[in-house]
Amino acid sequence: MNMSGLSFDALPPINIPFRYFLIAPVFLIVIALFVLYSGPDVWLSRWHPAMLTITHGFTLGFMTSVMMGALFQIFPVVGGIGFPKVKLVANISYVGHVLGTCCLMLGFIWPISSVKVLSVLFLGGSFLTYLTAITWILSKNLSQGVVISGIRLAIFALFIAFLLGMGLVLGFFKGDKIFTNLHALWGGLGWGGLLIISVSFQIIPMFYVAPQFKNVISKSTPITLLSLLLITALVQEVSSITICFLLLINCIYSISVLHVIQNRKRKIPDTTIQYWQLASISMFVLFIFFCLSEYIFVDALKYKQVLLMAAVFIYFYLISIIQGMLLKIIPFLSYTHLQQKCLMNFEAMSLLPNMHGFLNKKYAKLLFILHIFSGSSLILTIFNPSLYWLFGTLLLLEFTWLLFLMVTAMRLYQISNHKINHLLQLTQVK
Amino acid sequence: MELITIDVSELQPPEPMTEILKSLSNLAPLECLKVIHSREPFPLYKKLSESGWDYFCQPLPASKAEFKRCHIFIYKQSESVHFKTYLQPLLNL
Repeated sequence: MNMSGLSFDALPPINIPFRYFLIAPVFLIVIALFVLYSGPDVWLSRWHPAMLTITHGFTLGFMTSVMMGALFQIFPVVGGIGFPKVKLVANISYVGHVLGTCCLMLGFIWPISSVKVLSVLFLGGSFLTYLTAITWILSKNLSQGVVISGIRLAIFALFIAFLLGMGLVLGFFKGDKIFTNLHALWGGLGWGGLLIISVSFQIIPMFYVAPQFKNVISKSTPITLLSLLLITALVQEVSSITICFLLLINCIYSISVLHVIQNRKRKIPDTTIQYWQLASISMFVLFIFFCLSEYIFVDALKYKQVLLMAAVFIYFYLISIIQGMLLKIIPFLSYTHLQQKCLMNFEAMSLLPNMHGFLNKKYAKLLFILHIFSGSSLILTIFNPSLYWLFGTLLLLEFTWLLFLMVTAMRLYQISNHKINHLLQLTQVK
Repeated sequence: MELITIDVSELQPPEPMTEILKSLSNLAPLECLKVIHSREPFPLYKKLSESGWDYFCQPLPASKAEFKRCHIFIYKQSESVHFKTYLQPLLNL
């Protein structure tokens, strides 16, 4: 097989994806405390400054952190090529992302110009470094499979969402809410949705030993979604019919997710499967709710429509999948990195911990239950803002638990890694 | 020269790697491990090279069974000359 153009030297050290994964729940722990502090008024409008802080905590703080970290690992696995100058790119983009997100979230509730300028500088530096590195990867002679093609479109959506976001912070689109809607659409359904869809074409068949997605789904879903997003940008209008089509295509994709998962080879009980099922069902609920609120119960649900849809999409769809994948990826990455060291000395295989030691199945199940409860409390809070304390508390519990599970797995990795390195050093001395 | 064949195409990660490691640890001189895999394990390649192993990947046509995508041949770098000669007629190199 022709391997020219591929670089296997750029495989990231494990701490690069892990640092992004670790900071993600920390953002939501901070958001949970902020929800508890802010009180019920926040929940009256999507335009409330504190609501913008909360939304960006979820989308930039949690979702984008995990997705940026995951791409460092995904490119070498899918395309056989890694980030150029991986440590430098990761350091700049990580520090910029964390500080920029903090400044942005602070800037909504404390709108002084220096905080805004800092958020633009940090996030701008972070995304430009990250996107430049990815553009370099995508310019290489990669396989043109459905995963890479889909990631290309997701990265394009991230670039558009980033430009719109920067424009909004800098006040270029003042008073025109269409650009806010476009920013949300390109960030959520574009960057978030497209990346999840594209990567799922690789990881669902791989992790669950399931059949490949049908060609018609894997080839046409990402490009159709991006075309619809382009239409919204070109006509500068987010019409009901476009949203309806976007959701419908996501529903068709969700049906195929359920179908592929149902036909997996080994039906071992696995909480991460339940996360995919929950996300798929949430997409159907979102579509039905949109059709009902738009065409039938117009006045009754219109007032809460956008907040409810954003909550279901972000919390039950995006975060469900991302959290499920974290539970799958962290033990897998830890174990695989240790396993590969055993190629240097097969005796080290005896030092490998049990794979299930990285994540106790019962603990993962508990996290899933917490996720259902906190998500339900979010919906209740949108209807009845006086329940904000319930959502804040459950959010705090859920993401503290997730952080604990992640730290436990990483600690086991460090201990085992130390033992294996010690053995390898002894062998070299001999 | 002998081929030891293992099929990891229907195993859940990280089991394929566990099986590959076990088989490599038992590989006798002048034996080559043939792995039937559902995908190309790109990250493994660098580690194999670093650890004194050579490899060759032969993708299978799409018409083959759903889970079987490629054959990976792994052998010691020190025996590379023997295996390249041995595998040449098999793989039309």
